[in-house]
Amino acid sequence: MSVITRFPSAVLSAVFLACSGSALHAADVVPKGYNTPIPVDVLTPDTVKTRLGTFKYFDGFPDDETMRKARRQVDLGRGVQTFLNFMPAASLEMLYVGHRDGYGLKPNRDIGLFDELMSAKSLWLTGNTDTVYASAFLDLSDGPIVVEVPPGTGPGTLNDAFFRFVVDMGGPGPDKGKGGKYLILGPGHQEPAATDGFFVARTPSIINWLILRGFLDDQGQPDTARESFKNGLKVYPYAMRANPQANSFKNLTDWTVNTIHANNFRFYEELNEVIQREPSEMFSPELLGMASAIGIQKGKPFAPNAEQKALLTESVAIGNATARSILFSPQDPKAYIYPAKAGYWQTGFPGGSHEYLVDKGNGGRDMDGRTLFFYLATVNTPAMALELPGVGSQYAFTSRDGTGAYLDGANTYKLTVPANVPARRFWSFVVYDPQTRSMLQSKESPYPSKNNKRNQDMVSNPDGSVDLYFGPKPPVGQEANWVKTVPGKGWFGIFRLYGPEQAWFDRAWTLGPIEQI
Amino acid sequence: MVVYDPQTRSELQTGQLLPSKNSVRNQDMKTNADGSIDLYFGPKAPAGQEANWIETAPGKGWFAIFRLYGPLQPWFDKTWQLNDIQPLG
Repeated sequence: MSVITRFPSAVLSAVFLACSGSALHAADVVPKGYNTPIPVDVLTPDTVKTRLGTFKYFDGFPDDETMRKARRQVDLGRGVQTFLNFMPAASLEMLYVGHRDGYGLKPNRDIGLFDELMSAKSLWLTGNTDTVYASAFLDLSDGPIVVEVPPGTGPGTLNDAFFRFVVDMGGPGPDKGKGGKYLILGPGHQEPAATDGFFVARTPSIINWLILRGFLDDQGQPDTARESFKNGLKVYPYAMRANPQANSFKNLTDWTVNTIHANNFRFYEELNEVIQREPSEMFSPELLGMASAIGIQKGKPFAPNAEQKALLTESVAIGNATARSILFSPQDPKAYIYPAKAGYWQTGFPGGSHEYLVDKGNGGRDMDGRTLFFYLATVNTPAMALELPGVGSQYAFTSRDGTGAYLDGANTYKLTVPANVPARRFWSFVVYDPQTRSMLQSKESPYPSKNNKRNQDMVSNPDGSVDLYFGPKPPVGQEANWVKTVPGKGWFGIFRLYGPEQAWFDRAWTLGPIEQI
Repeated sequence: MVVYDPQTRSELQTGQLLPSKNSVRNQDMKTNADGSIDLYFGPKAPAGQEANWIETAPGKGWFAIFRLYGPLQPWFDKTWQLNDIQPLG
């Protein structure tokens, strides 16, 4: 039956004009099988070509193959998004597992100390060779925990199980480096009536990571910081505050323990551990919904069948390629420190927000910015993201030479660090492995770095600048300024400024490119 | 029972203004001896079933929603169940 014969188009037009708003702007056409005009926008053709193949419908009902193709794509995408957006949780989880099972450190009691600094033996995302790390886990299952930090502690931070900022301690913290007692309240904990003498912070997660840095002394030695932690760093349950247990300190320098999340299917199992243990309230329902759609849900076993496992294996491969592209070739101009990507020097905090908020939240979260940071590094704190002259720390990293080519361990390169580095505390340059994003390993150099306090034998140029050399062998006479690289392996470098000064933020002092020689 | 268009998810457009049957509105529907009611869907009404018939459109699919307002316990218990929609050929 033809609708047109029933309703002449002149009548239809009149009806349209009379009763339609701007919503009914579609062509004045009555398709077969309808009595009224239907906006073409709401109709689904019987065949639709896409990169997944041709979707086929009967009057909008998808056929089995169409359903399978579309469904598979969405599941694949949820797997990719779960990898990218839960990466901070899996990363912190592997630090937790590394401390608990690798180093054998008990939460709330044992504290890891890098007595002779962190070397390339440690599989830690871009750890440094320049500060004495104290590292411990807090488990808030059984009530609030107290952390006492000694005076003179450098930048320290507590992060929750999703690698989010809880509180700073030490220099950038509320104790301002004078030392202090921190009361950490966990999920569901009541704040005590009297909290005098405590800096109080609340975390939404059960497991939390405490990471503190101590500064090398003027001779570039770690002894002062190490003794300060051993004598003054304390972690104990608030309930035992009248008579706290003694903490045991373990030297982690010579341990080889992995703290890095997986880049294969194992990633989802790491994430599952977090979701099973932690309160669901610490994640947004949108995010949890993405994980539960691929089978990861609190209170339920994560048991994908062979087909689901194959799909997630592909998801994580796509996610990993995406993360590596975001880290090593970001599209966002804000990811580069200097105009026109000069020197390819990048920042780990594009946008300067430790929450990765775009335009104060109007643009939501910069998902790629978050991925960039957490694929590269650990520790989330405004002290690293904000411009705090003299107080925090600043970072510039590059994986390319001045021509834009990736850095290759078979080549020899030079970087000139100009005189008067605007770093009140110290500057350093550490070389990393693109695979593990940990320090580059070589037999000859356990500490693949140079630091102006620790390496006081470095030769300066007459103008005060320092040339650093990178390659398999030192250029003649440049041994003291040389960091070894490994043929067959790539590398990237991080330039650190502790106590960065205004000239760094103003870009009045700039790093040039790394040049192949 | 309301019949819908899979394209627009709106009511199916046919010669019937209201593509539906309703226990209060369509009191001319025929009831079987056991109190059950047969609803018919198709381009034409089966002979004698005009009052129990909802028109559908050849060349178009359809889907249906059965609504219960003021649902009683047997619905939730599933002790009262809907039958399958059966093709008559």
